[in-house]
Amino acid sequence: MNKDNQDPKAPSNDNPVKEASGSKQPDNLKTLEDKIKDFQKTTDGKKGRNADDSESNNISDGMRAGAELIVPILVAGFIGYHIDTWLGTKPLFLIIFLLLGMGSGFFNVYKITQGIDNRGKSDKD
Amino acid sequence: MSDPLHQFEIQPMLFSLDIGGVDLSFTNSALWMFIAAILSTVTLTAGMRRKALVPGRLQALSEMLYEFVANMIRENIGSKGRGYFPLIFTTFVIVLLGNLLGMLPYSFTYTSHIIVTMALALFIFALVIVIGIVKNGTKFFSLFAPPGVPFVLLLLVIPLEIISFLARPITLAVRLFANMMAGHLILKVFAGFSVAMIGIEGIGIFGYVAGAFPMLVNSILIAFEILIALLHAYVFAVLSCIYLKDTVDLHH
Repeated sequence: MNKDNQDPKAPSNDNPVKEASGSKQPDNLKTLEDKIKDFQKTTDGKKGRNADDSESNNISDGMRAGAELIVPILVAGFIGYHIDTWLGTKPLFLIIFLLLGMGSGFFNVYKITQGIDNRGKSDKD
Repeated sequence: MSDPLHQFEIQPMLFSLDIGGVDLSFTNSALWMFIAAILSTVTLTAGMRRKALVPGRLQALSEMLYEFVANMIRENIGSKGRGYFPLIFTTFVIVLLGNLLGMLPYSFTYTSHIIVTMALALFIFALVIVIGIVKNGTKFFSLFAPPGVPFVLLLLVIPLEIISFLARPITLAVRLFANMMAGHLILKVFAGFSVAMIGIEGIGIFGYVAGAFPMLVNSILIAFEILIALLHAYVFAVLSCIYLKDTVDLHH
């Protein structure tokens, strides 16, 4: 937001100089400044995935989703089963952890579809 | 018809070595890892030897590979992730070569074994935990509590986040291993169909005609398999980046 406020000022400062001198240099400097700003945006990762959702990203997201859905259920089931055999509370923790695993799996897929997995985190800051 | 699982068998090359009950033989898996390591080192070194302004083929290849990984890190970790370049680059190249060398006839796909992919994934996982805790201290565990979530929901979200965090190395390993193994299995099964159709008695030349169809499917599958090989090396590297991102900036 701060950057947006500064942006209109910068050209208005440059324009009188440009009109007065008539040389091309301020114009070039301005485009250079814009380029630097654009570059800094990309290097900070601020651009994120929404700006350039390339096809390879989409395919890789699709490939990720399947495993992200299934594996947490298996992991949670495994944890629940072992807590049960350890404490002797046979089906209790297995059921609790399976439900948590399903929730976790769906949450992962939701995060991928909404772009709020770690890739997009810096967008929200 | 030959056994489609035979291609995944690990066999000692030349001789078998047994030290203190541990099998330390140089296996076909180790051989192809060795080939991948040598091939990548030689290609990149040879590509960078000339440093011409107008790059030749090898140099262009090396530079494209470098830029691809550098961009991946910049997009997914940000400028602070530059220190991870050697790690991500090495991981990407070794997985990529493992997948692609596996497409050669008579070769062995070492990424089709879960022990290999799990070792890579657990290494990344352990690295995230160690670097995360060293750099951020106990603050690292705020990873499990996303910002801006109401307190009541946190009670639900924190267990979910912990489970999906624990599942990370397994998703990473299983995805790569399952895709490589399934792909090679399907190729072999379709090749087996061809052989079986030729072998049917009493239909003569018609067996060869029918046998051509699975072969046609197989040639399409091989192209698809090469796509999968490239894609999963990319996915593995991107996810390593995403996980390592947690070590450089936590979400606050």
